[in-house]
Amino acid sequence: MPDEILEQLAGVLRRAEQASSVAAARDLPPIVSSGCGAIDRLLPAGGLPRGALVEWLAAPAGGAGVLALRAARQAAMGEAGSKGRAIVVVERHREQGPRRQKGQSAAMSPRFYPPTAAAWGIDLSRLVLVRVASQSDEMWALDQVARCDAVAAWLWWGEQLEGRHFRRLQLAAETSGSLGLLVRPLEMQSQPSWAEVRFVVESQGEDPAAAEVKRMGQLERGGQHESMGRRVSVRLLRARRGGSQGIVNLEIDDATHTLCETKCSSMVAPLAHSTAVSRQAGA
Amino acid sequence: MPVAEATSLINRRQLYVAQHDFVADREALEMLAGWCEQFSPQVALDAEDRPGGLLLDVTGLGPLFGGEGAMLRQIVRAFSREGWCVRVAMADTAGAAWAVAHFAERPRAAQRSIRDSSRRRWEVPQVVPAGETVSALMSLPCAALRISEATIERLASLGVTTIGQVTRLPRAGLSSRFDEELLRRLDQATGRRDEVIRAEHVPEALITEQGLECSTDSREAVEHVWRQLVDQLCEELLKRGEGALRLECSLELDDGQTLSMSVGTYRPVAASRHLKDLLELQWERLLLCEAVWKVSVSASVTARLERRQQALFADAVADGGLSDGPQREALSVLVDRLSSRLGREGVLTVSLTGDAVPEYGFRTRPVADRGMRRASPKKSAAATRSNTPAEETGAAGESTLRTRRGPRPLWVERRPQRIAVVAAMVVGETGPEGPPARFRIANTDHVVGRCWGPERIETGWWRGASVRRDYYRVETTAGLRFWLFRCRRQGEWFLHGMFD
Repeated sequence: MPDEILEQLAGVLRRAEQASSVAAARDLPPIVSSGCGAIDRLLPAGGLPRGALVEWLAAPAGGAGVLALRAARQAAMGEAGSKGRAIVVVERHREQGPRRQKGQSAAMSPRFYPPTAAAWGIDLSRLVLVRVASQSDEMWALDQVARCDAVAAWLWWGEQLEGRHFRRLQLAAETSGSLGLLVRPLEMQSQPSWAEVRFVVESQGEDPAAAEVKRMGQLERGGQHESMGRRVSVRLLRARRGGSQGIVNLEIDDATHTLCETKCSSMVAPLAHSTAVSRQAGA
Repeated sequence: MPVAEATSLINRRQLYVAQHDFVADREALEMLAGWCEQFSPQVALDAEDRPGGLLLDVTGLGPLFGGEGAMLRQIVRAFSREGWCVRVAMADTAGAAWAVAHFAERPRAAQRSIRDSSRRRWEVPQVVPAGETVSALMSLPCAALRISEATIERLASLGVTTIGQVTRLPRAGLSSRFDEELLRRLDQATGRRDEVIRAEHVPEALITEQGLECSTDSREAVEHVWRQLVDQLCEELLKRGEGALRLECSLELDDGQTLSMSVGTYRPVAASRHLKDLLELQWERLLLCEAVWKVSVSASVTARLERRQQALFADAVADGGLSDGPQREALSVLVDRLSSRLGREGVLTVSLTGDAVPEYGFRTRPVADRGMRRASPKKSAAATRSNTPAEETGAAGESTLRTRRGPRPLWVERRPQRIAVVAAMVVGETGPEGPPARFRIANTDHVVGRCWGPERIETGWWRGASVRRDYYRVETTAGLRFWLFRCRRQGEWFLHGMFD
């Protein structure tokens, strides 16, 4: 009985919060789909809340970029008859690239590539690219963008985010009703965060069933017809007001620009090595 | 003649080839038109599209310069001081003046009357005396009538080469055989019909300035002064019904230097608070090393203010207007603020070019420039004529290419990075042409697990430095996906992007 009452209260609280949110005042739906039904099912309200920060923690090339783009596209799409709300990407010219990877050379500085974003469904006429040179400019620009009413969603790939900047961004997003999508490395998992929703995205590598077919020591040549989907797993690390603890396995297809849920292939537990048993027996 | 023919006639090193810039030409001509207002209050470009000269209405102005001939000589001297060579002629009608200036033969004897010895013969100004307009036109070729090439050719095929011959043809015949343009131009040149020229007036630049009685290096005092000047400027702008697109604030220092702050806005703005906020962003970074004795604020580029009707009932505009009006305002304020601090190149919009080469697959343009382009529609019309190779492919080309192109990564290096091949391909299914089995990107080895490709991208030889690459998408054993290519010319491997 108490559980039911608690659930009811949580539901009432959630509805009251949504009703008073800035998004509701603007006649916009307060919940935005993340672009993937499976991820929506993990979330407590069935989607991402407007006016909040969403953090994607991923290893480099983990697929979080694509997921963030999908969410941004949904945020900009879900408005009846509007033409004006923009999607902003804040990018810093860096020597080391968007996320420093182990051993990445100082000369690498990959940049956000808009044609791929367009292929994933972002309307380029509504995309604004903000390029900054220094970190202080970056924080200031993020703050300005988060504050703006006319921004539907903004994206940022980065690493370090100081507590006070993070908090300022969260307050700015709350005031303006924009959706802030931050993609940060997995190592930031342990750091405190002001994001309302946090996901952990990990790449799964090859399908083990398919790997068994491959012969050892030879490179598999993927033909044009073979799916070159990337398999990633998405886990909800934290969401305000609960949310389910499940893991979602997705396949990201870069050729057809689609996301689909895969059945979780059975994780075969590695068999204990026989020598360990014999050693124990011997000892 | 085409450039190729010219280069075959003259040694390439002695020939300088530059692309014709219509927009720059027109802008320069408009600037000259404004400068020529010292000679006449009515100055116009001689044609709407592709203007090549200026028309000045000098009715009754001869005596001010000491005679018409003296006026023309003054004009020629003034232009040559600025570094321009000009041909000048004066006549009763605009058409006749144009014809004489472009096509009349210059008499040799007149050259001696010009003191400046560097004057070339064709720069000698000519004055057609009043009443002799028609006789001056007689011997000039048909092209002097400002008619189209097609009409000139048709006349030539009939054996008519000079204006005199045209006038001797029966008028009824002319109107039936040629379009009305020929008759109209003929009448305008001879004076039977009036010609209207549209004068361009360069609007006065709006400047407010204040000199300080005693120079000061107190930041508060200087800030107070420029804020007041911005208020005055905005009042003046509102009176004119205009908004500023570019605002400049200059501070003159004691040692002769000038510090300046410049802001550009996305849309014409006359709200002084917004302009002061933008200037403030630059002011806080400015260092005053010397005392300031004069502050001036000017609106160098202005445009008509857009009037936006306020909605009476907020509910009525819930589905359409709300998202349009205040949000566009909010977006332009954001763009202004970002551009003011990060520079115009810091806030960009993106458009696809449809180019096959990935680095040129998209083009960025500063968002703030949109406002400037909207303010000057004539310039944009002239600019569309200049075509860049990337735009020629156009949207139609892009849609057909997309179906054949391979997937592109989300992160692309600005310049492809050379990678070191640690172990080449194991000879197997892919053969020696495939990506390396193991490669190094600056101190990290990556072992390739799977690969897809190749996708060949080649550019045409006419594009200059050719690009011939075979692209592969590789997945390493660690789960990273890279976009590599092999340059077909050199055979080396490069990293171009990373899938995220």
